[in-house]
Amino acid sequence: MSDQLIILVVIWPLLAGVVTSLLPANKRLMTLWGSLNLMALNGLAAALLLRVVSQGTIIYTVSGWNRDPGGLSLGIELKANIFCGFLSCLISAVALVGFLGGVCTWDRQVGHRLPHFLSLFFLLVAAFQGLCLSNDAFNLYVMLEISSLATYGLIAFGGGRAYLATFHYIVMGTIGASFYLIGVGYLYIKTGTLNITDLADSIASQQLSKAFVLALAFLVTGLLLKMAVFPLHFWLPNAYTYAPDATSVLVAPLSTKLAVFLMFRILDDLFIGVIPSLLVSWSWAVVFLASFGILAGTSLSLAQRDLKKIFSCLIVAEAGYMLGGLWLSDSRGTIGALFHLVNDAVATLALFLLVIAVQQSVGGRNLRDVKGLFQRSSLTALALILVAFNLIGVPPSAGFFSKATLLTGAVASGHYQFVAALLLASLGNLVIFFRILEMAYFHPAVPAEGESVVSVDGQRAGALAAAVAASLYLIGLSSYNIMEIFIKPVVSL
Amino acid sequence: MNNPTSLFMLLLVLIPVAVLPLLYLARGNEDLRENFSLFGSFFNLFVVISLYGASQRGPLPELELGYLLPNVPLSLRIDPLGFILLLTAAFLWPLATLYSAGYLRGHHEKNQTRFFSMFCIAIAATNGVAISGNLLTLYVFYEILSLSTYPLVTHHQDGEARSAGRRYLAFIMGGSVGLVLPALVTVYVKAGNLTFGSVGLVLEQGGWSAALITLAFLYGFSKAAVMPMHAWLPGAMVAPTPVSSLLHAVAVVKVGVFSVIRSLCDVLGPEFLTEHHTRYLVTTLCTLTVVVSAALMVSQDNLKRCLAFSTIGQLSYILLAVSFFNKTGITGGCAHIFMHAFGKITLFFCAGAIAVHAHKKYISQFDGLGRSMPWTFGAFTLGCLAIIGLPPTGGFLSKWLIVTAALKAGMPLIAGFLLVSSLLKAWAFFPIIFRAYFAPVPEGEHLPEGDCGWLMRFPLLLTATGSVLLFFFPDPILRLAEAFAEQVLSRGGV
Repeated sequence: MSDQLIILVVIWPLLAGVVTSLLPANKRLMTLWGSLNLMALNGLAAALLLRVVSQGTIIYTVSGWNRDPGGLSLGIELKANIFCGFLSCLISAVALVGFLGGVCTWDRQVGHRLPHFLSLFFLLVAAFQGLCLSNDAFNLYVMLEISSLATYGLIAFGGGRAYLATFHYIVMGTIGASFYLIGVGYLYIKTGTLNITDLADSIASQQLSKAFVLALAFLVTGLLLKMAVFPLHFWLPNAYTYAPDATSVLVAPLSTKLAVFLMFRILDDLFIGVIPSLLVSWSWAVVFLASFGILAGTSLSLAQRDLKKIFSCLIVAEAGYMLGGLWLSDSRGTIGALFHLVNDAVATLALFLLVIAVQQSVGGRNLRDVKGLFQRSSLTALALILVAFNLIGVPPSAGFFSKATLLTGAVASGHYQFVAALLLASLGNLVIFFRILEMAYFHPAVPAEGESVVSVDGQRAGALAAAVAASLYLIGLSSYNIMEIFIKPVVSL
Repeated sequence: MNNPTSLFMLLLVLIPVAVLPLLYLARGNEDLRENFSLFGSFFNLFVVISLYGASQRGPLPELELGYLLPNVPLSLRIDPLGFILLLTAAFLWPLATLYSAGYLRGHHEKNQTRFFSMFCIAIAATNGVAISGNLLTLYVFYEILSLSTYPLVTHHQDGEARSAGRRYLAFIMGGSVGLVLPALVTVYVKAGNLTFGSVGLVLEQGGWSAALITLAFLYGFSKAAVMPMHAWLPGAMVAPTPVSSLLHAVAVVKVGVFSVIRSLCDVLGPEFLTEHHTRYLVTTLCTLTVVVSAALMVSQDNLKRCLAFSTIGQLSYILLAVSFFNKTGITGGCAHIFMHAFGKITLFFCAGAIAVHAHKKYISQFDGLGRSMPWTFGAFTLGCLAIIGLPPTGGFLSKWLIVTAALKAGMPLIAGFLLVSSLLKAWAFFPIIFRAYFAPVPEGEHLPEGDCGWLMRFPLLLTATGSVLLFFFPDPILRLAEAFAEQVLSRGGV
């Protein structure tokens, strides 16, 4: 049984998704069914992590195909090293908390199609787990597509403007996936395998031909699109803003982060044999792109007045942080990027839970709606403060330590434009969040009469957001241990 | 490594934080709430004094609680300079609490519980800064202090408070994120650690990068208000007066100066600053601030703004003295942290008492006020003497040391500037005192009966007395300052 843990982590949500579509659209039943399944998933992921910690990296061949020693093989393989195990736990936890946070929005935004919605939700979780654990370049493509298709559906549930946003996303997402696929195709032609471990050996043993460089270029470009790095970002803000809240709490924290993780796999697993020489010539350009993306994302965010859109634009900026970190050609940069991935997943979850809480407690999510938030719902206000400080980078939050690690990497490798971009983005976040905080703190609530009683749902969502935001500080205080135990061992650069 | 005495140190941060839930529970009962605050402050004073006693018997142990970055633990330890800041905060916290109670009640301020809570967090952060063992730990507490004082500055929650708050954040956070953080990271990458006293930063190419790092620390810790990073300080005067006294005498500005001293003396080190000649940069910029702020003081009519400019000057005195890097200078500068705190808090207490009791904020309205509020203006006079640097107050001693240090360092011109600025301060302060005591009461003006209430009068008299006592018994503070000077200069003096 315990040998099958790794596949169970992927299969469980997949099967749950299939069963869900057969269940009746009963909110209470769905809440129970969903949370039980996700708790089980959390248990499985935790067990997997424990197993990886005690026994080292796990390699699992799906359906037990025989691996021919020395030869090339085409069967699907799953692999969990210590960071994959950690990430899998993170995905499960985010899915559970996001699910619970989204429950109160079902009535208004999902309605009677609830089983279909949740079916896609589980499918997406399965795809995320697959992206995290798969050790096969083509299988990763499949998982990438499953996650995209599920996301399209989940976003389109928003109706109205969400349809157009979904269409943009479909076009861009398909282009991105095609680029990735072309890259994989090149690799397959050159090496005759799709298994990442075999591919890496094969690439390392061959001369760096133009075909490999082209393959890398296609892979990277495809992932840049999926990561929504400026200027390939424009599908993201609208898609995430007009999606139902129950969608965005799952998609926003994880989707782009897993593209970052794939980028890490490509740089650090696939091309590790040749990357140092390539990095010298490419890193300047990519880090420049990342720095520019950080500034662009932050400025975009400054121009918005819809809370959800402000936070969506911030995701674009955050993608730049991680992209830059991965390409700094300094191990501290890579460690910082992966830690930022963890931090940003949790912070984004808190942000989108916050959107739900604000909407439930004041009835809107425009900047002017947060007036008087401090009087109306102190827990939501607390969550806002905590997560704001994390994004500004106030110690001892996780955001500070990820930023500090990225900065050390940038200074050590001499990428001063990245340093400047990180610092300016911190100051930009200061403005963005204090604009919201000032609105909440200085202005009395707008409709002063009677309405001051916050709904139970609003309070619950606020408490959930505050708890997630508070966990950022726990992550921050244990940042050294997380980096040493879970991240450093897998970074080989 | 961690023995009981070192855990005792942790109390300095934990006590003020532990008071918070008590304040929240007692939010309905003002007297009880203030008693909790007072209890916390006395407990804190007790801990500081007993640690001081322990330090006389031998060096205090360090406390390391996990790692923040590779090679950079969350480390706590107390050295003589730390004690100066700890003692300053510990002595003034109970007095400021008493005074705040009187002031807030007299003014019928809202949200008093929030006020006292943020006050406690600010004290915890100040203590944290004082006991930090490396630059990153200090930075953590510094940022907590910055953000916890924001609700204090903007306490009134009106338009004026909001713009003051914006300016405050822009300067303080802009400095710490925009300047200190990159400087800190650069030092960390080049030197490999950030532990005070053993950083050993070596730059391949000196010149510009050395100057940039020095300036980043000097300006980045913008709570030290070296011009032109001073602009937040007069604006922050819209806050209630107890906050101003906290900002300008105890916590915020002293933490700024403390952080700059730490980064100059214990991170960059005298050798670095002398080798790259950047200490002259510090001397020059601080002298400029001293003179300009004193000149600006003279033209102020709003008493609190006048005091704010005086603070800006005094802070630069301290940094100026340290930048000489001789024993007299560092001793005088560090002692001045404590001496100035007592003088300045007295003046702010008086300004607040006048505002609450006589409803007057402008110096031009003070005619004859000294005769109806004799206690307050008596204390005010002593405070002025301390700030100008005249006997019989502690301010005289530290200023004497600073001027001597300038002469010893071979910079008589700087000594001259210091004296000029003292004269300017006298020129700003004496007319106020003269006006209050001797000017006739304008016709139709209604002066208040009697002096301010005891809750406010008692603290301001105590701090004024403290200022005088420091003149006669300065030894403990001077010894600490001297010990710190020796510690710094043993690593390469001038």
